[in-house]
Amino acid sequence: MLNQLKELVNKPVLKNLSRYTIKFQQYVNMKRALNLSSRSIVHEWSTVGLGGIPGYSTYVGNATKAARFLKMGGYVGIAFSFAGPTNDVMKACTVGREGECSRSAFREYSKFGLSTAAGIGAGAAGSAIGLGFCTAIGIATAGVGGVACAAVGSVAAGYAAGEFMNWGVDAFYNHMGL
Amino acid sequence: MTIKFLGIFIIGLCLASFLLSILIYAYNRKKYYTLLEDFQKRHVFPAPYSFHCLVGFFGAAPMSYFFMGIMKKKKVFFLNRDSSAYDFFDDNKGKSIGWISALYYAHITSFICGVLIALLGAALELKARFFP
Repeated sequence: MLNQLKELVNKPVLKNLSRYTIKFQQYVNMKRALNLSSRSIVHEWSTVGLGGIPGYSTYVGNATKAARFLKMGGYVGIAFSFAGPTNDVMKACTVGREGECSRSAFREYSKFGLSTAAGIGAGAAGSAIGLGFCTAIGIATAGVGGVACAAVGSVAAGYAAGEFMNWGVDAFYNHMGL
Repeated sequence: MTIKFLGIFIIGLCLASFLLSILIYAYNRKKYYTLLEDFQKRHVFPAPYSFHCLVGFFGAAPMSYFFMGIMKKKKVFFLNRDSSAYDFFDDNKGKSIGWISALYYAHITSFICGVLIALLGAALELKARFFP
């Protein structure tokens, strides 16, 4: 693990970035740099497990909290996305002409369903792209780093896909006179 | 007229499969979390699955792909071919995991149909703009 960390920090692309942003020094011996001895690592690991290594559980806990926040945010976002079309449909049903109500309901709710489905699917693909991007620029993708890269890629791709979907479906409905 | 009916069929298929994926997930939610727990007792999810396993329904599609892959011992993206994770289902052969495939295919159908309809809309828009 320490060798992998050393290899990552000493990567040419990351060397300068990491030195200034992550504030890692270019140490020859990462174990020494982190002020760890083999005995202390093995002792901590064998007695209290991986989660017991000082700092590790905090990082993992924070990542879990962030993911939970994203999950809740996703549900709240979907609820808000549902509120928009509902408002439009209600407006069309109260002030619109005859037939406008069902037409608007079909258009708006199908658009909502399609953009949600595409957003979730693209989010899954976006996490892989985010991870690939992080790997390409030399950001560590093991552990919390991977979760962060996947989360950013997922949110960005999900949002972009939702917007593209809204535009595409609108274009289809307009051209087909639906 | 053909495009109109094709488009409506794709929209219907997308919405139906998306609804089906929600129902499959809701029905198997407990089993899904038990499966994640069982896996994490012995293995560690590689990124990006370490993220997807934390976000519930939003991550259910890639997680079902992951479990389907290791169940069939096929190469899974971001998981080394020599990983011991591929042996996970060797000890869990008795478990009913058919719903994972159903969840995966429902998700992938809804996503592909969604992309198709957006591309169809984009093509119609571009055609009208550049080749009126």
